[in-house]
Amino acid sequence: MSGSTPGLSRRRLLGGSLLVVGGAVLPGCQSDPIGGGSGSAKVTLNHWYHEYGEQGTREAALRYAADYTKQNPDVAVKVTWVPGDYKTKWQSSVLTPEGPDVYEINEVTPDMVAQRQVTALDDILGSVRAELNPHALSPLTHGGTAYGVPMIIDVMLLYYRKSLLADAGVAVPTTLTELVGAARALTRGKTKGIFVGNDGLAGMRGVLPFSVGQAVLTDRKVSYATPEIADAFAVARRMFTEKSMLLGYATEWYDPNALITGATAIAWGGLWALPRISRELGDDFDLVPWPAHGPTGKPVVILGGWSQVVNGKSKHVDEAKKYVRWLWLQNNEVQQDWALSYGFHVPPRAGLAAQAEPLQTGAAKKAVDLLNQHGTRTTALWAPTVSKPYDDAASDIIRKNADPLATLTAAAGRSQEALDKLPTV
Amino acid sequence: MSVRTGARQADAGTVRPAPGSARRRRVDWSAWRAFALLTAPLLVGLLVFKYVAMGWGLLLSFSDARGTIALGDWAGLANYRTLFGDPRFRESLSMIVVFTLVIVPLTFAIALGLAVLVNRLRRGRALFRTTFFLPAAVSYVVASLIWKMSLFSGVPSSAANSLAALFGQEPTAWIATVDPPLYWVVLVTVRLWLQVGLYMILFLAGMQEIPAELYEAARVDGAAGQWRLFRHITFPLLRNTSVAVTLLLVIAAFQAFDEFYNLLSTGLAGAPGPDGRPPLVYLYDVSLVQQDYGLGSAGAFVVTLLIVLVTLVQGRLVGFGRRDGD
Repeated sequence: MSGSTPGLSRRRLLGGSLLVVGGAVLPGCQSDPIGGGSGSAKVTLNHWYHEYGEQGTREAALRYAADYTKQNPDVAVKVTWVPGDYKTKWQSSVLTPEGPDVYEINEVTPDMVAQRQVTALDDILGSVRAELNPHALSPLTHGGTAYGVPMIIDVMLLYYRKSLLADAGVAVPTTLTELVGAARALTRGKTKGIFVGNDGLAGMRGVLPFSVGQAVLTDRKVSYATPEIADAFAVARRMFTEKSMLLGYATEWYDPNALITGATAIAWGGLWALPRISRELGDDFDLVPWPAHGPTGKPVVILGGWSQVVNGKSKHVDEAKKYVRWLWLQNNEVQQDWALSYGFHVPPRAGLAAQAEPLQTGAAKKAVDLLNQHGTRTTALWAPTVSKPYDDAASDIIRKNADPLATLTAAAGRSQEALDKLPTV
Repeated sequence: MSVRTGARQADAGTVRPAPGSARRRRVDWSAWRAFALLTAPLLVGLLVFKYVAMGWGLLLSFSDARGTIALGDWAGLANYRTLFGDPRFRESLSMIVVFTLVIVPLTFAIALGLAVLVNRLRRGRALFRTTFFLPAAVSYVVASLIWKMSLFSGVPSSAANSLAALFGQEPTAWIATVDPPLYWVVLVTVRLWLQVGLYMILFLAGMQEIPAELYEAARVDGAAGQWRLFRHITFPLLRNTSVAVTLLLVIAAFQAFDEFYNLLSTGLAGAPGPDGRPPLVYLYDVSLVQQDYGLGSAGAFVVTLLIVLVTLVQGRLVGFGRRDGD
């Protein structure tokens, strides 16, 4: 009996280890591509999009591709609409020779450049470059070379319910301390004061360093372990410990549901949600930047968004570049359509943003003004390996009452190690 | 296939005097061909998709492979050093050990208890067996979302908070509260609900193998009371099942990923935080988010080794236990 037990265990164990190794090494499968292509074309470009939530975006992407083939009969474009975890899918796909020729990303890391997952696009950017929002370009730029073309800018800031603030007799907060006080006063009955993410930090942790007028990175130096940033964390933490944060809600912060249902009075959110919020709440909401903290503090509006890159390992780099130039640089109609016909985003070109009619009035105009005034974001060196220790430290400080400065200092050492390992490109 | 095998055996029987004859060898060859033909797809698949991948993974774990799975940039043991130098990885290892120590005995006891109860039923046994087994067919992802969004959501109307309200408790953010670690309640209950049924079936099968005469004999010998019968007959004779169940449970616990990832991640906003991050979630993040495939592979082998080690130790302990017990 005792002899057969190890036999069984060895077999199970082999099965188990195969699963572990297989799971870690073989990344997820690709989804079936959708979209057309023309039979007579000499070159077929594979173009990947993540699944945009807005109605009509997929049809629009297919239409752009078809239009391009109409004008360039030699080049067919096959659009692949990738649902679910887009990032891991493109990351595993570009490891193979069959990866997409053109795909979209949020930021270009130095590793992506070193491994030729992207290619320099300076030549197609040309003079348009001066017109692009510098914060939209910075996460795509290394050593002065741009590796992507921004498609849309997303603006993230605080939304609040005017009626709930008025009922509680709370003024619109202009400092972090006031925000903490407001959140406390607004927490009544089934309404919580503020929502920054179901874990109590997802939307907030990246904002705090900017709110004291500092940055997480200064060139190739990690600079987030400062007394000022630590103090911002200590103050912001009170919203968590005083239970004035909405936690564990059914939807995430990027969905406006919590604000609309009144589960929270203030919420970190994106401009993309503006059409729905104004449809559901009418006049009962307004926008405000994340408030400043301390004497050197600045109000913060965060930029995000999607950008287009060309796979450096593509067999058709030149054709892909031409296509990207046509789609996102020359074709104003497409850029406006993509940013504003389905959801609500800001076109990255200053000229187009200024002309865009839906952005000229009301809350949308206010958001664009706040973006121009306070918009900022992290640079291309804030790669996942570098930011991970920071994110973990933020969790420990906010949710486990860890000492802010000591925790940030320990994390900064690890971030610096990761930063030093990034190739210089 | 079985008909042919039977015929061959009959043939072999009739020609027993000439065991090494050419005829018999020819029959063996055709059987071998059939065997090879039928198993080849599986074996080739296993070789290509498992063993080659494993071998490649092992080589990658000694390479500096960031943003690529190409070999060649050898780094020696650097990945292993980085891994063990990261306090978060060490935390994730100790976390999974604690999780295993909690979930394995709990599942074992509840599954065994249910099996005993269901086995004693005179009527409706199939109904209860099916009812308890049903959750095993539910996906971990689906169950996690139900636990996250309705049972243990942080709003006052969630099931757990409604129940708490009956006792005058304030609504609690179950998943977001890591100090005290209330999220463990969510993690443990969802896994229990999902896996208890399956192991109950294994125990039930084991119990039905125990001959009824043993119980009768014990009663004749004066062993009275259900507990004594369970203690001295059922449980000792379930030994094989118990060993298998424990092994499966330990391996499943070490491979925990789905419910941790789905309960604790914040959607597009990011992977789970440092609390409740088992090794596989840590490695998923390293490989597929940070694109460090070398480090990720090293971690996969460390976890594999850990499972091997724990299983061997466990096999040893159980073996010793038996000899001592007897």
